[in-house]
Amino acid sequence: MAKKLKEAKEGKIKYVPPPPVKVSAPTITRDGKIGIKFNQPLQVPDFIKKGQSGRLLAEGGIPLSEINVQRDIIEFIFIQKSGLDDKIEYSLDLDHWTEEGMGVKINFKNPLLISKGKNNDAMVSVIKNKNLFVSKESGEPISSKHSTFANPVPRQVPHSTSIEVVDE
Amino acid sequence: MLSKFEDEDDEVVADPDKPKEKPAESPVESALKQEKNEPEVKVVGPTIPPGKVLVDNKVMESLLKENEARA
Repeated sequence: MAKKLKEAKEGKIKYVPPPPVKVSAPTITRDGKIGIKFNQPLQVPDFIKKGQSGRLLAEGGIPLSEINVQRDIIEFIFIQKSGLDDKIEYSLDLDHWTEEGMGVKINFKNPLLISKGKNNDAMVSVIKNKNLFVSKESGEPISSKHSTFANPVPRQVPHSTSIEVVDE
Repeated sequence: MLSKFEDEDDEVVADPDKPKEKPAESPVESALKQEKNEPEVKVVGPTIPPGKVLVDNKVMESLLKENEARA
């Protein structure tokens, strides 16, 4: 980045800034994994980087399992459209976070209740802290406009069932 | 040559009888949309499993501030 800017200032190249940061609508698998993709490399927050490399809180890292996704990263809102008498319960785990994207696992208490009716249930995701989604090249954070996305949630397989086996 | 009806400064006036085109529905609007003849949708937030260790709010706040300062 610094090299590009320097060359642009010297008139050697024409600097074209990267497009605004966007996260593409995630795909939700039948075992509750949400894959979120970024449209360009983003800075991975330092405490996440350190946490993923096994460093503890005293060293400035947080293990991914201790991150409160809902409170601090992305707010997930499950929209129940089917089987409205059923009580849906779920928790969230941050699975991975790289420059290219991140993964969140939805642990449904009873996966068989999901999207069991005529209409698929849906998940709306709202980025809570825009400063955690910053372009590596421009340093610009994601805008409010691009911070919300939604996806239908497919029917889920029971716990400890391989989706490969079910989809065959 | 332009006729008196084709003056280049003329504004293009939309046909008042033509129905206005609806803007495309966003995925969020579509997710929240209630289907016809369906009961109201229910909104459900996540829970925290008992016994799960999560980073303290104050510790997180300070890490987020550090991250912001670094960016």
